[in-house]
Amino acid sequence: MWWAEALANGFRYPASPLPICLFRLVIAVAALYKFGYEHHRGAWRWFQPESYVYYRYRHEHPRFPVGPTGYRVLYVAKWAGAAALLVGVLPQLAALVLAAWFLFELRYDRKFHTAYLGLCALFLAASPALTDALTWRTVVDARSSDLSAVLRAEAARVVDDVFAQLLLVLLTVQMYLSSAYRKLRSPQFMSGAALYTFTASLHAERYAQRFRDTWYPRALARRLIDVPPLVGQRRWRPAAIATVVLEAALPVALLVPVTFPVAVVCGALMHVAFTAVLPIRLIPFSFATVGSYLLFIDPATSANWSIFR
Amino acid sequence: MSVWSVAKWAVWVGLVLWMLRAGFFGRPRLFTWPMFSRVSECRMRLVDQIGQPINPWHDIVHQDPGMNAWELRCYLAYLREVRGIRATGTVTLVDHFGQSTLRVEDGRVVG
Repeated sequence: MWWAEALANGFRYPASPLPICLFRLVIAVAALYKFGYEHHRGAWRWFQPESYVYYRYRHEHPRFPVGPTGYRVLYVAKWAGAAALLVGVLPQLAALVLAAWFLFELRYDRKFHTAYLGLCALFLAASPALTDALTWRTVVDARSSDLSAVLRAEAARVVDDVFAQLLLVLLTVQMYLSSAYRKLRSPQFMSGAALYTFTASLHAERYAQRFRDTWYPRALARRLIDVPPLVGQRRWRPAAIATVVLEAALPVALLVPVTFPVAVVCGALMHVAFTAVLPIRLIPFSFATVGSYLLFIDPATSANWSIFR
Repeated sequence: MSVWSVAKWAVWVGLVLWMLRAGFFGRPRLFTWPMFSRVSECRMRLVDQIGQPINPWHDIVHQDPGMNAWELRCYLAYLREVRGIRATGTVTLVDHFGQSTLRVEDGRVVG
């Protein structure tokens, strides 16, 4: 297995830059989507003096002063960072800027998907191969030459350092295993109570929400939400158990080449189900997580992917 | 072995230990992923001084239904100090300890 060989060789492995560059695009798109919907929800004004977000932040972090001006400087920087990462202009610096933003965002809105995106950006910054493929240069070169020839040439490049790719693989493996373990240890999750309460609460408040985040189909609401709590919990229990089983099995299945295709299908379906619970907010997280599956593929074989041949 | 190789191994080993500790032991922090694993809900039935309902969804960043007792007190203080609203009514908090209903008067939790 390529990752074991790379670890044995001190993070060195003859790899194509394609997987890590594709993941660079995934993180950039996920970040732009997240920033876009948050901007629509008024994020530009979240640190104005009259805002509850700013009030709460000041009370929770009195020794970490970021005022309205500092927030807007960071706000512009995050957009610039995401755009630069997408087109491949100073991508390591762009990834660091994004990581800094996400870690700052955790100070006023602690969300696990934000932590995952921030850590992905941080680990991406450790890759020296981010400019080797799928950048603005690809577009420019494709105007004077054949696109498939440009992509073939980029895919044929060899990068020796896969440290960043291994860090990202480690992150996704640890995230799934930790999530499965914490859920397994939670009687509220395993009984279905956590999922029932979460969905029922959001569904009950859907008309009060200024920016709605849930659109549960009527049949699903009738069966899983608009029912007595004990019935709802019992009906959510199979989903809870399936989540823990899948999250525990996915890392191993992704790391072993034989089971990789099955793991991709199961993982993608699982993330579609997660995203259905919180459609707006979990799209970037699911996109990034499923996108990280690219990094589990032997990067020496990426040049042979049919789209680049 | 070069200095860079040693540095990479140090980062790798440090991260693995950090991930093990945070992911599987102790309280949630960075590298802990307990998504959806706890019950958390906050139902507010609050009105302002002239009886108009208060909608917390207009003020919070995200759409999570959970707000713990500290967050509730912080929100009531914000309404008092920034918006001049002294809320009255009841708030039901549901968490892993169970359900509790709190009474709010004049912008503060009183019982």
